[in-house]
Order: sequence, then structure tokens, then C-alpha cells
Amino acid sequence: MIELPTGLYAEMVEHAHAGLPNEACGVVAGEAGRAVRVYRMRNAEESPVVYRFDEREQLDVFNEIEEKGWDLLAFFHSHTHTEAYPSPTDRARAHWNDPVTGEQVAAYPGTRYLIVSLAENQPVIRGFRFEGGEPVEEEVTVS
Amino acid sequence: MVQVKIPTIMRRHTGGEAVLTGEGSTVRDVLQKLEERFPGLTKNVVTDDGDLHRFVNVYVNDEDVRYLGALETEVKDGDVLSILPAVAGGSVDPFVA
Amino acid sequence: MSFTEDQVRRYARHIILPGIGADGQGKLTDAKVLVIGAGGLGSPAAMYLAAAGIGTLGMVDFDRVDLSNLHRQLLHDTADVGRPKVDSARERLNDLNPNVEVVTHRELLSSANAFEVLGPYDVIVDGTDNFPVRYLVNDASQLLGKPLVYGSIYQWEGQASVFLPGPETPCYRCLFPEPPPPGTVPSCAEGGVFGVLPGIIGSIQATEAIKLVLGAGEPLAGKLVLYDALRNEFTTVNLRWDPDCPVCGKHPTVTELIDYEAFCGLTPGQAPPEAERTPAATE
Repeated sequence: MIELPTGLYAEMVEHAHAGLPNEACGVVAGEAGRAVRVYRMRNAEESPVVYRFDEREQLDVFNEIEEKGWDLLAFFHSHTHTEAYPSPTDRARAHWNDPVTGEQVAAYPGTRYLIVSLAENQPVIRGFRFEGGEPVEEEVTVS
Repeated sequence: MVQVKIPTIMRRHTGGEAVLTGEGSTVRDVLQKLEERFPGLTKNVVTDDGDLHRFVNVYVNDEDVRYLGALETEVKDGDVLSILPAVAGGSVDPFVA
Repeated sequence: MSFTEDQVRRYARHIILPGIGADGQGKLTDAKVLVIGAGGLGSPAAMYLAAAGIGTLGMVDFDRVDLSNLHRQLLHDTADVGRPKVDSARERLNDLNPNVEVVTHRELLSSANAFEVLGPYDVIVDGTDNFPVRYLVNDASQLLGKPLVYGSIYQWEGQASVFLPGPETPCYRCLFPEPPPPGTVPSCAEGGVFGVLPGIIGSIQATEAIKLVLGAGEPLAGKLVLYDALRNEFTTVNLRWDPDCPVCGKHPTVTELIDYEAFCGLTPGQAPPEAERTPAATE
């Protein structure tokens, strides 16, 4: 289960809208499993169909999270006109090939993936982790 | 001697170590020597063709090596290398028919 | 360029159209366009290309007409069930326009024959139904320097774009660097498809192919049209060229053709015997 304080959820949705027509992305930092901070980041692809963390910004954000003793609770991004479900591209990019076993392993084990969909009139947010290469949905509660 | 920060997903190859000490004159050099010490460590960083993997970021002192000399970027004593898997995705998928 | 009286009357509406004219019609007559797949996408694409008077129209399809094709593949009719699709296509296209030379390629595309098949044509229209061939056709088009008109469909949605050869403009690989994991994208036989849908996307493909031949308007290069039939909504998004693309990037690493079955996670196979081909195998 992923708990999002209302204010942080609102920040993510605002970031998604602000990013239109492109996909928006960012990091949710957590402490003891609870979201404490949203990092609104730049989509270096500047595209409505793909996103990528800006490399330099990624390092800065990850370093800051580490310095503050927080965790990489989740990565979030928006789907501008499709459902809030991991696309095959989402899935592929979340994994690496284990050099020894050859199997797909999560590149960021423990980090969830939140997707905000702007396809409908109201934004929809859903959360996932990956197990065995497949998305497993987790409940997202906004409180 | 340089410091190399290893991301979580790669620590299985370093016995859990998050920071390694490395040696070499270029990023490629450092990675190659690390690969010799920890086989498999850099398979997802340097491709079989010897290029930087498309979805991996390597930094020297907080600069992305793609903006420097890529794998040929020179390193000197005291430099800090960081390796991070890229974070990316998309929403448009190919249709087969 | 001189037209017969039949041709002048046949193409009159294009000859008087600003943007085509007699010159444009001449270009269409001189053009050679290859349509890969005589199925859902290939049907409307080929028919409109033939109607417009494309001089040489190639059709590539290994398959035979199946009853389940007829809800969307308008090149063929009930009497054609069981016949090779390219034969049925040639007849229909020549009935429509006898001026078109229809060249049939009743074969499966592979790294062994793709250059040979694509080589003689000016524009390639992709209406295939499997990922290995899509990647192969993209490579071949880029290496041969030919524009590729892309179209694809799934259930109620479609996509279309134009991939121009060379750097600076995206190709299929820029858009989809890796195929989806095997089994994640159902075929039409598995997932179903709205019959009218390829009629729309294939017509867009014909439009783009004709525009390329004429040099008219703006090609869909660097753009992807997304169509949602349930909402009848078109969205056009920009596509970025990937400088690292192994096919069309600054330092391409693909310099010869390969077969993509392994890349797509499939077992490479020989051309299957006709009897074993699945019904709706080619779009």
C-alpha cells in the first residue's frame, strides 16, 4: 500500500497538468514507508509519449534524498492520454538483465511506480511494483 | 584512486558494498578493472560493443559523462564516480498489426 | 507526360486539383510504391494508391485469403477465400485501374530477400502484422534510403507515421527501441480488431504515400498520429529523433540486415508451410 498525503498528491497532479502536452515525471521520497516529499522533475525527452529523468537532476535528487536519510519511495510519471497502467515500455525500462542469470530484475528494487493518467476528466493515480517482470498493483490511498 | 558509488541493483555483485575504490586513467579503465574484480558488475553499464549502455548514467564528480568524454572521460585521484540506472518509460506502445 | 483519353477522364479530379495537376499526375504515374501486407491496412492503402494511378504497385503477402479476413480486408471477397492474397489483390486493383502495373511478391520477407524486394520501389508502405518484419522493414528502408509509411492497429486504436531515411528524423526504432515482451501484445486473431479501423489508418497511409510522391503538404515525419475509434479522436504527437538510434542515429551500428525473431523474443523459424499459417496472419 502506498500512502500519499493529500498535499503531495496534489503536487503530483499539478505537475502532470503543468507538463502538458508532454509527460511529467518525478520522485516521491519516503520515510518509514510514508511519502514525505515530492520532487517535480524535468522530462528530458520532452515528449507526450515517453519520459526520462534528466540525468543531472536525477543525481542531484537522489543525492539529496540520501543525505536526508529518506528512501526512493516511488517514481511517478503521467500518461497524457492512456490509462494509468504500466505500458510495455514502462515495464521494460524498469528492468535490467541480470548478467549472471539472464533474467529481468527490477532496476530499482523496492521503489514503486506511480502513474497519473490524464486521459479522463478526473486524474487517476495507480501504483505498482514489479515482480518477476510483471506489474503488481498496490493500493494508493490519499489522506 | 577514485571512489565508485554502486547503485542498489548492482551491489549483489560487490558483496553488498555500496562504495568501491577504483583505479584507472579513464572511466572505461576504472570500469574494466572493477569488472575484473567483480565479474558481471559492469555488464549492464558497458555494452558488448564497448559503448555506454543507453539506459545507464555514469557521473564523474556529478557531471554526466555523456557531456564529457563518455567512457573515455579522464579521471584523476580523488574523483567520485556514480552509476545510476536511468529512469524512463512511456505510454505509447507498438501495435503489432 | 502524355495521358490517354481514358487516363485524362479517370484522373480528371486530380488533374484539376491544386496541388496535383497534370505534373503531379505524371509523378504518380512514374512512381513505384510497395505495400507490405495485403490485409487490413494494405487493402485500403493499395486501393487508393491504385485509384490514384500509382504506376507500379508492389504487393507483398505470403498468405491466402481466410473468411475471418473479410470483415476488414476489402481487397478480397467471398469467392477469393483460399486464394493467395496477392492474386486476389492484383485482380481487384487491376479491375479498379488497369493502368497500374501490380507486381505480386508472394513471399515472406527476411534478411535474405528484403533488399531485393524493396529495392526497386520509391516508397514503402508497412502493413505487416509481426514485429520481426516491422523492424526488418525499418532497417531495410533506412539502409536503402527509402521513406517508410508506418501504420498499425490494435482493437479500437491505430497509429500512423512517416519514417524518412537518414539522420535528423526518427525511424521506427527511435520510437520503439525494443519490442514489447513476447505475449504482451495480442494479434488480431487473439485480441480482436474493429473492422473499420484499418480502413482509416490504411487510408492515412495511402494519403502519406501519395503526398511523398507528389512532394505535397507536410509528411507525418517526426509526428505520430494516434487514433481512438471509440471516441473518434485523433491526437498528433511529436516524435524525437534518437541520435543514439542504432539504425538512423549519428553512429548507426546496423549496417546489414538481420532477422529479428530473437530480438523480439521469438524462436527463429523457417517459413511455415501454408497449411499451418494462422488465418489472420497478415494485415
